[in-house]
Amino acid sequence: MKTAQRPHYLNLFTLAFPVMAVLSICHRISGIFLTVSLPYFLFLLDLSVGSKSGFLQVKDTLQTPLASMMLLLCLWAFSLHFWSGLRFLLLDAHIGLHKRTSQIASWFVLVISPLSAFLLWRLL
Amino acid sequence: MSRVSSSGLKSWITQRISAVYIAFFSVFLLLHFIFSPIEHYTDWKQWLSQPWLAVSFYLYIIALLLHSWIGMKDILMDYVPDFRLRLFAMTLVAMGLLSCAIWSSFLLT
Repeated sequence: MKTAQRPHYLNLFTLAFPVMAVLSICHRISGIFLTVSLPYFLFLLDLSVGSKSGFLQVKDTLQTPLASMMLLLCLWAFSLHFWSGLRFLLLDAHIGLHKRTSQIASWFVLVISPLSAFLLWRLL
Repeated sequence: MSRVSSSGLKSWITQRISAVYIAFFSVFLLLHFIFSPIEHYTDWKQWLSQPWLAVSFYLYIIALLLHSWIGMKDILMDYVPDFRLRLFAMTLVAMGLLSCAIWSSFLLT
């Protein structure tokens, strides 16, 4: 059957995904989010290193509630990407390949990511 | 469209190695900002201008950009089947990331 004629079902909302699949797409989405936020962080770095007024401007900007929320979001994206990335590296070393272990590890990553993000947010 | 046979392996290795470096350096940066927060501009400048730190920080940015490029390349390959649109998107992303690399080389001098 040619590619154009093969049946496909793309209504993703009706499918029940395993937790590993959910984690995988979270890893992807957090990756995109982090890539897009990278130029902004470089901009902040540029401003803070350029001059004393720039440094103070960055410091003040980071104290505002909006920036605080965005920082939490970035930390959550980073934590998700970091912990699930760690899981992928372990999978590369053939650790955690069994389905049950994989499920537990995925739940662990999904729970620990917002917790570690919140902890870092409070400490920074 | 033909691809060089080892490029998949090269991307995979680059992504893993950059990931490990990013992980270690990120943890280092986070711990540093938590335990010795930066209060003054002069302290910040002084800390960043230490040679070993400036070099490893620049390496960190390069690793982040390489890691991002491989990730974005995989995403575009998965979700953009049309060749010309994908080429356009990949060019934009590559130019954006390359610009970040060049910009960061001005930052850390």
